[in-house]
Amino acid sequence: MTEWNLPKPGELTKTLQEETIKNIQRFSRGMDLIYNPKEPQLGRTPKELIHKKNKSALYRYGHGSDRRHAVPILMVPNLGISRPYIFDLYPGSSFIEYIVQQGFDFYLLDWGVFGEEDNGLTFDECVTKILPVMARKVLRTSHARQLTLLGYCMGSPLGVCYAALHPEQVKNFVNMAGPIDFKQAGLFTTWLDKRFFDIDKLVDTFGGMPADMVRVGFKFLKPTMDLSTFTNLWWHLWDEKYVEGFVALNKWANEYTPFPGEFFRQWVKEFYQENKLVKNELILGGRRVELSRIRCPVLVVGAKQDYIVPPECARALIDAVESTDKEYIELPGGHISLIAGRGAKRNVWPKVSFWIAQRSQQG
Amino acid sequence: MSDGQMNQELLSMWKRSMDQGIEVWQKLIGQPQTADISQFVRPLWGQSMDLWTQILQQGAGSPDAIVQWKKFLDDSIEAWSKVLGQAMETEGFARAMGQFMDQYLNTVGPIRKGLQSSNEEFLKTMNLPSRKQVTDLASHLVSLEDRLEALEERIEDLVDSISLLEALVKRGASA
Repeated sequence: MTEWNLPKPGELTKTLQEETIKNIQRFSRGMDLIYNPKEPQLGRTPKELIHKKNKSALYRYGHGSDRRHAVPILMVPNLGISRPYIFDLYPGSSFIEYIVQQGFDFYLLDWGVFGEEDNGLTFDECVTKILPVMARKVLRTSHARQLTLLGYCMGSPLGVCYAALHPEQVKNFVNMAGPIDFKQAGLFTTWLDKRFFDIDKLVDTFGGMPADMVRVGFKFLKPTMDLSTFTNLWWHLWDEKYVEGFVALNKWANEYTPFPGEFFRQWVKEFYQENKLVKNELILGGRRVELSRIRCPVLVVGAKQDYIVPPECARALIDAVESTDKEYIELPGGHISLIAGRGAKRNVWPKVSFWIAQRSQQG
Repeated sequence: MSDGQMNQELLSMWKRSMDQGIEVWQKLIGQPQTADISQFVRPLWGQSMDLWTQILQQGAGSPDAIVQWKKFLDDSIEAWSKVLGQAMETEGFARAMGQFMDQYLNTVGPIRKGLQSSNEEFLKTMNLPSRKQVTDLASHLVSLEDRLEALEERIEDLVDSISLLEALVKRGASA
């Protein structure tokens, strides 16, 4: 007779009971989400406004007595696309809170939300006019001679250009999922190819890159993302902690911001279409950006399943710099998993924090 | 008695009771043995259980059917995602998207221009500032801010130089 590997009768009953309770909780929490939605309280780590320049703002986090490392960190996030409160989602799930708890003097550059009046802002100006002012403010406020530059996503090419032009100010550079070699940038490389995508027509028509079009572009990268998000939400709807995280992340994931027109034009033409950064052909402020001028310690963190910035696109920085102390780590997960979520807290933040801490004594 | 043996016993008991029940029912209605539905259902049921057992023995499945169903859903979505991803990474798709964007801009562009100029005319008539005038004003404010910032930096540098000079003078005086 066939041996049937059936569950024990008691186990089956227990499973059914648990599933019934979960379904009741799912229904209850689902109704709550629909009829009584609560605005998530995001970005709760205490901060101080240090400087404001047009729409951009420089914030300092933490308290003086908690700071143990001499070298301050300036985090440069992406300009446009999304808001930077992803780095400070909610207590217990905040990269900034974690870093501050490790004793770092942490600054965040919030680029702000640009309007029509900012359509003339270029990538060049961001690197040669805004970043130097912010870096100067960091060094003055912290009484330091050098800082650690931490770039995330588009913030990495912005930061790396600054580091190449002002290597004397940068003690360490960390690239978290930031594109460097744009020929390996996945779907965006194909879609933004000059043969198919007329960037001039787009910018001349709209003046800038509207937030809605940014949203469409990112949704197209993974069309099934929303389906799997809501399937997983339904599956975990019984779990209060999961729902709290989902509501916070969902708010961020659906809040897109526009690009200034000339910034986007330069970004697409000189980076995605001509790949000037990694070829050392980029000219900013009349100076050539040579990545080989970077000799400080460099850490590059890539995400294995990152379809926005594939790991090889970020990893290219390791070969481009002249640093002797350089390291590449590739961790499981997608683009956002490096900066938010339980996996980030467990796998990424301790590694990044430890690496920076080892190199944060003033020279 | 092991769990597997107990399950077998239970199943055998259930089968015997089904057979006995059918016999009793047939006697009751005085029918000779005719179409036995269980003859049709039992092989199917047996085959399904054999298949499920194989899957469980290979470790690919979960005895929890609900978890199994969720896994099936996740795998389906992932498969769809891969198929769509492969289609979208082709140059053909990029070309089609580019052509669509081109046509969209060709349509939207003149409409936007027309709307903007009629808005400007309307605001002019109402003696209200136009959008362009407001954005120009904002740009002026930004450049003023930049100049103030540059002045602030020069003052800071000046203060730093004076402090350094003071320190040098004090050191010289004490020496």
